[in-house]
Amino acid sequence: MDDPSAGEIINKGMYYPANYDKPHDATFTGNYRFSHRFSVSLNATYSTGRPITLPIGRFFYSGGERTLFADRNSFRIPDYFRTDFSMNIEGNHKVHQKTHNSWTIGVYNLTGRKNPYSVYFISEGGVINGYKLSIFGSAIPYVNFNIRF
Amino acid sequence: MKHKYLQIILALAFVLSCKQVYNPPNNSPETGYLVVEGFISSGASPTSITLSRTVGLNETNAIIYEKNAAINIEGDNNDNFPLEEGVNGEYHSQPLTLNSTAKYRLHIKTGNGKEYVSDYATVKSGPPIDSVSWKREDGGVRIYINTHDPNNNTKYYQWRYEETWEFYSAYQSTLRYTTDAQNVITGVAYRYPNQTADTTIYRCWNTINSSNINIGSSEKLTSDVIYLPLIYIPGRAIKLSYLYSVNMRQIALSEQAYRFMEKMKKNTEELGSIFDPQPSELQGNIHCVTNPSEIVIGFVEVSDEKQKRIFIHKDQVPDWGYSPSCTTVEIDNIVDSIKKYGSGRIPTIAGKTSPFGSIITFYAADPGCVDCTLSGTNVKPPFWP
Repeated sequence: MDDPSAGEIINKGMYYPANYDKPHDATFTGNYRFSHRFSVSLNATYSTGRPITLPIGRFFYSGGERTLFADRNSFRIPDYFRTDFSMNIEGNHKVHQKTHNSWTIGVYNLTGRKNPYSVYFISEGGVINGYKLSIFGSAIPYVNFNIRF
Repeated sequence: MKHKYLQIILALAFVLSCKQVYNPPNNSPETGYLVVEGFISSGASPTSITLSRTVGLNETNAIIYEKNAAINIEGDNNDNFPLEEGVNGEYHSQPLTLNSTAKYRLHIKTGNGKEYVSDYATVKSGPPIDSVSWKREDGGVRIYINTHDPNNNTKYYQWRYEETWEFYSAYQSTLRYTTDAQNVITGVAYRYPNQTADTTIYRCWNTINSSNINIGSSEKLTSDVIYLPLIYIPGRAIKLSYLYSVNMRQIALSEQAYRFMEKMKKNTEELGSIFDPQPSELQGNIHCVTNPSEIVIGFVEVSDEKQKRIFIHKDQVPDWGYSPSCTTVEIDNIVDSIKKYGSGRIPTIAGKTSPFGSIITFYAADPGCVDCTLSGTNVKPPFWP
């Protein structure tokens, strides 16, 4: 890749994964109705972590400490996996009423897996440390009251 | 009420989010990658090349220098100049007489037997620095570089600089503690019989080198003219408390070397905001011959360094306002008082004295306010006026 018209060359002109490259992405959704008034649903999502460019080392150049980065998008953040479970309880099924109501009781992220939302690196006391931040890193129960009209 | 719910939701999201240590898979080899810094000097100054190694992110050690390497400057006209090893991974030569029509490269053989070469580079001589100027800005001083190439073919520049300043301790010291054989303080006495101050700890100099990548280019201009701010000294800084000097050193770069430095600057000095550029890999002009896929960091070219030194005196920056945060305490010349108030301080001058000249009380201050060698050196630099 010595073509002067090529502009800025990324990753030495070789292929690299795009930022949104997720080769494996599977979602399972299951609903089961026990009766007219009670049903459960289960939702499971798995996807490969998206690619990132990681710092892999430090060096000293031009009077300061510099970070050495790996090839573009050569690493991936940890895989994403989440399971949600919910139970749906309907009220009476009279046809003529102002609103049809139901309750939903469930748990978001049933397994409590700490899925990384972002991975970042900060310099602390001269050492570069990596952290992953997860939002909803534990199982979250919820109760909904649904009104249909 | 609306805000209260919002706050609760935000607080909940905060509580439920969590931060964990993330250890990236490390693929930097044990010995690290070779880092080559410097340029082949075609001018009067000697060539100096520094070899070091990259270290892992979680290693706390400072720089690892590469020792016992053999470096030669090779010309395509069969010139060959060996470099001599100095301390701290630095290799240097005498001033070289290079043929301006030839191309030169660096040939490195490291202690572990691997060989590295840089690409052949033409001899670039770049224009001299027109001037180094400065202006009062925002209460401080901003220093500018001015240069131009009448032939319009340099275009890419890099600067390094050393800042030196002369400064004085807040207090002079005519006194010292006297101690007994067990090194226990017994009182104070004059340092010299004629009661003069100790001048070796009063006047000092400090020098720091530039730690940023300072590059500039006139590629987008019709003529090759550079006027760039390089240094900012904030107001009241000690640098301008008496006399300040900066030695600016300019080299001409090729476009490839400029892009390399620009990328390194982007990767390491301009991250940390929301719309950061993606860090990109650095591609220098040095290659490992033994293992072509090995990463080598550095860009070595042939250039002629031009220098210019300026001085700024405190009288040129009126109302600079430097004031050291120093105070003295008055202490009775009694062993118990000295033990209580004087330990950890250095005595400065006598307070009350008896009619016979003996010291009744004296003043003392923190060591940093009396002994300037704690933050500098008392050896006058050779270029100092």
